[in-house]
Amino acid sequence: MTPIQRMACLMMALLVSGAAAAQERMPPIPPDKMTDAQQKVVTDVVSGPRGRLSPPFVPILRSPELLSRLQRVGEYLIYHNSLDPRIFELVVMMMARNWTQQFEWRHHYPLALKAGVKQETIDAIAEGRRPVNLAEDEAIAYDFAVELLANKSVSDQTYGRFAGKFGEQRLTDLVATMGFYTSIAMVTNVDRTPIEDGTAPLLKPLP
Amino acid sequence: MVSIKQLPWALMATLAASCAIAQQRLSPIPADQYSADQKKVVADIAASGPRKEIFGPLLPMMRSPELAYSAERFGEHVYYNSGLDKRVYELAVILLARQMTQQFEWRVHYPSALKAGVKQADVDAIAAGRRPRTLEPDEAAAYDFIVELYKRNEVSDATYARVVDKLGERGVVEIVGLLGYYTTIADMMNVNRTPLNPGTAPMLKTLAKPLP
Repeated sequence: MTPIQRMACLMMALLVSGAAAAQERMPPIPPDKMTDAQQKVVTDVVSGPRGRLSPPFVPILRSPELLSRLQRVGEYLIYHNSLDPRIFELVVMMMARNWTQQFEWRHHYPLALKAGVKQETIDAIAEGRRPVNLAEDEAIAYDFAVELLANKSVSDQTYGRFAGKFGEQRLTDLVATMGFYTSIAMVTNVDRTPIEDGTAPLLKPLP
Repeated sequence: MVSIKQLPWALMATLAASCAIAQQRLSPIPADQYSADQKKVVADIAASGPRKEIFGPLLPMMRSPELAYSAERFGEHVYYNSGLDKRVYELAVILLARQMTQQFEWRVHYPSALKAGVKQADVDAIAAGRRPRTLEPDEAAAYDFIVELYKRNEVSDATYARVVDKLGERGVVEIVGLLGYYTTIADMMNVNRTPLNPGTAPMLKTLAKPLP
């Protein structure tokens, strides 16, 4: 190993340890330090369909009432929304890419595959490309979400295709899904919420 | 060429055309056409919340009653119980309205921001896409936090430390909750093309990069 190579390796090691040191800013509050309001919300959430206080809610527990209200929106969207799970997971992956949110990306990666989103579609989203082999309904949802993210509005043609295919309830559920995952992406990026164990690849910077 | 006599009609036609363009896509469902689920949401909100009714901009969501209910409850917390200083709250809302060029939110919150004590010069700067120069220290901490979050999708240690120092961890979480809530409303209104309140005109110009 030449001195220059050794130097490069040393710098790599420093970089890696630096990344590991990017610790979460609002870690879990120990149960004995929780206020009554915090304890009550945690009990409610853990006894609900989630069965745990999932990592994005750990920082939000600083405001137990906000957590209670926001997680209820999420509970509807995750467990009862009117969209096909394949469409829901497709849009969640788009939101995770949009915010480069590693926790959400890794968490939803296997869920998206399981719901029937194609591997090549996920790979394209990861790289910021438009997926080429989307099913017809996926393409309609993809175009709607891309326009709303980029333009903050949706053209008549794209709106008409979505409303015609899915109806108005699914349309409002889709808009709310994007809003909810915006909240989650913001809080987890601010918090630097640690990723969970898993085999899904993480997002790279866009090329 | 339009003659003077034809002018009023030409104007009327133009106005009618622009009204047609601006029509709501998801106009409010008349109460007498509500389903049982929708009626239940109306009753539950009337019985529980400080507002007693679904907030106007959320009305398109009545297409999905359970969503409308949970979004209203989320919004009630943000609006009534965030614990943020009203000045910082309103500053964050007009920044979000500027970022998304959401004319309705800007029109409603521009006077609230002034009333809460945000300086006129700072509001004008935000509208024009300039960096405001006379923010108070807590306003500046919130401003830098929000702008950095929009630009980089995350915030630096220095900016994070400063906003926690001014607003506390809870305040930071409440700011993010506020941004998420108003993003949802702004998206919903932009998709719906919610019209401005009668007698008001749009105030924001379109800017390629709204936040300086």
